[in-house]
Amino acid sequence: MPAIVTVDLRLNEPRYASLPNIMKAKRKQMDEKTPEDYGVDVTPRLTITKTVEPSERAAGVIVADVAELVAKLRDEAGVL
Amino acid sequence: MAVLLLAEVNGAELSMDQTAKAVTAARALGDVTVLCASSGCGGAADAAATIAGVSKVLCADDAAYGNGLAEPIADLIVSLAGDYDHIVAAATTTGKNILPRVAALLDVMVISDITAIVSADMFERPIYAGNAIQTVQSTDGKKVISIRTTGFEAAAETGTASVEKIAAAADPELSEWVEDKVQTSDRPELTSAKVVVSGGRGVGSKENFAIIEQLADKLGAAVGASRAAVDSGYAPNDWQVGQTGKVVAPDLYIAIGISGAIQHLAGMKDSKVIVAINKDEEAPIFQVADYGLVADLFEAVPALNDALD
Ligand SMILES: Cc1cc2nc3c(=O)[nH]c(=O)nc-3n(C[C@H](O)[C@H](O)[C@H](O)COP(=O)(O)OP(=O)(O)OC[C@H]3O[C@@H](n4cnc5c(N)ncnc54)[C@H](O)[C@@H]3O)c2cc1C
Repeated sequence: MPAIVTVDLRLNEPRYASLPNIMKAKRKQMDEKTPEDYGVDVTPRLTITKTVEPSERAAGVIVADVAELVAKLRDEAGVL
Repeated sequence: MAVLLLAEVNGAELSMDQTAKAVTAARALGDVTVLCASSGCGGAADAAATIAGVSKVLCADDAAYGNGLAEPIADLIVSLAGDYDHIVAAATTTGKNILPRVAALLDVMVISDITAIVSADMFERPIYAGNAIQTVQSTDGKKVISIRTTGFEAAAETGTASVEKIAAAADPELSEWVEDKVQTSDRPELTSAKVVVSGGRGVGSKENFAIIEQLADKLGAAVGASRAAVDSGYAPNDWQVGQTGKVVAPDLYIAIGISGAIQHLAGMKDSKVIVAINKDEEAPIFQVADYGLVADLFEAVPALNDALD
């Protein structure tokens, strides 16, 4: 200890803060610290040089029934 | 540039698909040394040595590495790190467990889930659940990188690298293995399967999921699921495909009773051929599907099963 734990998103239902606890929290003392207080350097060492949209998938076709689907997968796409 | 690639080893067995794809990415960065760390991993090391583009394989065979615990493996990697400019692994649950720890110990940033290499210090990666592709440049001395293997072809198994046995690093004794509950399945592994058949909320129940599994077995496919299907208890956790599940890019992905939420698409839209079966013609899944069938899945899936006989 201390330990850092990651959890699966279905681990549990997060509890909601109750109104009395929200009120109590407002009266708690809050200490403000900076990373320097802990001797931590948070200068980013990654620069973002570009952000683009991913290439779109070309629109496909709607098939009429299962027979046409199987035929297309077999003959056109060659995946069966 | 020298690259240390942590091989994907499950138990004592090499995951060839994940490792060979990661090698393709690593080769673009420099001379590749593969590290196999497990208990009884000699066979895995020999298999890794056959991957084209690998210069050397390091085999750390020790009980401490047998269960894939991040703490001892991260310490082993850090003890080797001095010789390498890049430390990389496939962005699997194992890689995503170990690399952040390595990065923290080296005091560098981890560059996660890269899909392309621009140069030795510049990489592309998807952000916002795949809605954008970001290019980032790293100024860290050592780069710790996880690779989204769906973005790379597997290197051929034509290599003849040498295998060197190395000693284990001191065990930090921060964690202890208790138990693995392993789901055994005759189906192919989800992230490396050539065909994936996935079911969503539309399937309606755990019992009904049998028709999805039946179709998958006929096609020799892995079974996937949407988050709604997993949340509703129709399918186990490790079948989930998407932003918070697995990222797959098979030759054929069949989405059945899945609406096509962006978080689901994030895990499958790089599949080569996508088929969607949904009774709602407005479902967004049809926008990414190569072949769409507007039909009730309880009629279409059994019919498809029969048609494949
Ligand atoms: C932070 C975050 C992360 C998430 N991560 C993921 C993730 O990793 N993976 C994921 O999948 N989702 C994820 N989601 C959830 C996602 O937003 C959707 O809620 C989910 O994908 C919906 O699943 P679905 O398509 O099965 O269900 P729905 O959206 O309810 O769609 C069911 C579909 O089945 C069709 N249908 C119903 N009955 C039939 C029938 N008889 N025949 C044919 N079609 C039928 C309906 O027309 C509908 O289109 C995430 C959400 C958030 C906020």
